[in-house]
Amino acid sequence: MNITKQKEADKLILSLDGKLDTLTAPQLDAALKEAFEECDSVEVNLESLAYVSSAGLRVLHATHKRVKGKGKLVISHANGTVLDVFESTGFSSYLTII
Amino acid sequence: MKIQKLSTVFRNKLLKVSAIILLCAILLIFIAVNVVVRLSTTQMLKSQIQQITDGVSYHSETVFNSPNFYLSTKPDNINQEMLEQEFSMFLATNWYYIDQNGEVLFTNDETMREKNASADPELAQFAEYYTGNIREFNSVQVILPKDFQSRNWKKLVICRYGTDSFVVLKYEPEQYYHMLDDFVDSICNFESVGTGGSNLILRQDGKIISPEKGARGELHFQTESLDVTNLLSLSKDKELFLLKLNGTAFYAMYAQADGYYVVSMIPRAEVIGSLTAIMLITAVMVLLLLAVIFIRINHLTKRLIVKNIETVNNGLSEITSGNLDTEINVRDNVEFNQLSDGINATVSSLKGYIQRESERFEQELELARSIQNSAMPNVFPPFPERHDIDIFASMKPAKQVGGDFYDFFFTDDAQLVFLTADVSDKGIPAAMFMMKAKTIIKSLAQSRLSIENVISSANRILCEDNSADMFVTLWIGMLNTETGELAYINAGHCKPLLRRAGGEFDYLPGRADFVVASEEDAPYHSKSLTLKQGDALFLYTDGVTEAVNTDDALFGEEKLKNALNAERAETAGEICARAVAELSSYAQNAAQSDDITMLAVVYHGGVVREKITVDAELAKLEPVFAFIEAQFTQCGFDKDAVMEMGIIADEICSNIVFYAYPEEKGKLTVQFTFNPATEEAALVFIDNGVPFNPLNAPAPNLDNPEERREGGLGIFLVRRYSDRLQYEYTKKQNTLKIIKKRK
Repeated sequence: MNITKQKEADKLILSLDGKLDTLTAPQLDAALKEAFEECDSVEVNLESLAYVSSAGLRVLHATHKRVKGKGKLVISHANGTVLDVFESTGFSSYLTII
Repeated sequence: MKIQKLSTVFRNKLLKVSAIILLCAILLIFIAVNVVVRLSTTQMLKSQIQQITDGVSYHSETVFNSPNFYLSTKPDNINQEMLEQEFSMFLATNWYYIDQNGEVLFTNDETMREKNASADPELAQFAEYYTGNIREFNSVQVILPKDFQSRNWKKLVICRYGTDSFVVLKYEPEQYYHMLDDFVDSICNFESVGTGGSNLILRQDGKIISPEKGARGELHFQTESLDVTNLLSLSKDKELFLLKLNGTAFYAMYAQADGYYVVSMIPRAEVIGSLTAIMLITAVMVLLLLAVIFIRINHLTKRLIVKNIETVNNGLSEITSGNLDTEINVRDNVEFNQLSDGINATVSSLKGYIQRESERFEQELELARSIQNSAMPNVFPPFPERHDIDIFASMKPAKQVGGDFYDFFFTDDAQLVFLTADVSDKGIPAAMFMMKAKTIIKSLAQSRLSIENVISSANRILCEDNSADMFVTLWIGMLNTETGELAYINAGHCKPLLRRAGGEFDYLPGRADFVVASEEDAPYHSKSLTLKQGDALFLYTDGVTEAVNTDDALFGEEKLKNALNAERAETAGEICARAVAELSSYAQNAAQSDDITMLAVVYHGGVVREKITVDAELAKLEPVFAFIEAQFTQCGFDKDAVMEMGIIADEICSNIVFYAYPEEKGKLTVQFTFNPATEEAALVFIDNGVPFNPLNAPAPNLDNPEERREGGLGIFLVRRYSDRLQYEYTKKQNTLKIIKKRK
């Protein structure tokens, strides 16, 4: 999985490319921790993500809990299978997905 | 000994008893009548004797009283000469003129002349007359001595002669008879006793005086005298005795009468004749009486006993013929009541016993059946991880345990052996032989022999010690599931039905080999054919084609074929179900006479099978994911499906890596198969770690993700993206199978 970091006006955009699974979840975790140190608002762009497994969900869940009240985590451009995972697991109503 | 009917036995016994009673009655009557006859004969003869005796006495008295009349006046001058002339008319042997002093004054007896009468003992008897002590008398007659048989007797007559003298006349027997014979000889003339009997008067020497010769008539015997000595020796006087005279038997009686014997006699035959008539009449009456009794008893016996026994026997026959519900109700009397109750009680307890025994037997058979069933593979689908082959079999035994069997098993990853067989018998012995045959064939097949060798060897082994002379027909196939090549042997078994993909079922032609377990050297020839994708094979035993309906008509091969072709069944289970349904609707309520066994194989062929094995470590998972993605992509699954399978693979593999091997390291195997016929792919994850069934994991709380534990989410996704899931823990292996259908 490739993570591309892009700085915009008031937020940091992390674009994921590939698969977010057990093998790559730690990579996202590290990237998110680093991003929140730079900026309070982080957007994770899933447009190019092939799929996400429960390991990826756990990272997003843990990050969301950690930054709650201090920063803002937004998921964007989830589509296909990825969106289905978020919706079927209930994460779509819990995380901020645009 | 011939066994007779009860009524006959009764009749015979009754006849015997009747005969004995009849004989006794006749005997008793004979004795009674005999006694009566003797008494009455005695009475009759006695009166006859008395009458004759009286007659003789009367004449004797009359004759010997005559001097008394003649001598009433006495002349004055009495001398010897004058007296001699005077007394000569009395014909006496001696005469004595005795005065009142007892002096014999005149006599023709020289020895007594001028002597006293007391000198002669005979004359002395009249001493009291002489002295005048006895005044009134006419005459006195004395016979001396009493025993006149001695011939020494004399008849003495005394009469008064004048006022002062007496005359005594002495008669010797000769003179006596001379005087009297003419008077008594007519007494018995023309008189008979009964019809053939007679009275006789004899002199003491036995000469018959009366009846006179000319007056004896036809009734008398031609004899002049009787033997008096013999007569006296036979009996006392005036008693009945049996006398034989000139060959005729008489009842007779005698008595003495004034120097004579009086005999009265009647022929015995005459008396007995009437006795016989009485006896005959009595016997006939007794006979009639007995006949009435006999008929009555015979009738009663029949009505009270024989008829009832027949009723009981009929009931028993019915019970013996198997109708245990028969009740015997003969209530005429206490004995038959008890008998009926006894039989009914026995039969009902017998019924209970039979029922208990048959229940026990049923239970044992049921047990045997479950043992037999458990010996055959009966979990379907038997090879859930395989998609190249679909197999289903069923057996319905006719008698709880049957001689049929089926079997199927893989000898390696690709070789499937399957067979149906029929042992030539039913029940427990057939089932035991079946177990033996099945075990031998399976163990031979698993040693990788060719199918010909398997059956030849099994045949030889089964021929040894086959004391029950059973044999086995079987159809066995050995299928290479990779190539579809099928080698098979038909040992005297029913021809299977083959359906080519898209076609219809038809019988597989070809000659069958000899049955197994009968001929040690029988040759077996393997035949072969190649199965293509979608081909189906249906094996069965003759219980299918020989099933009968209520009219005893066979189901037959034609109906079986038509039944399977009528409605297209895709899976092996559906093919068997069609055959079973058609059979049961055909047979209706007809009893199943033979085991019904069937086995269907559907070959899917061309199945893709790949697998990958790695160490269960995170770092080694990358090639596994790549393998799965490649396989699904190759088999034409769309991108979404491939992604979904990626999620599933990640969830399951990470789970195995993190939790399966808490201590030592282990392996992870992933196996992929794809069946184009069903368009289903199966992904199987195998590990040797701790048993863990992810299907039992609790569902995550999706409504409130804030609060939920993170576990369970993975398996939720696995469920969501798979079509079916199967988990098994066998041989210390966790096997999780995911099935995904191609869209």
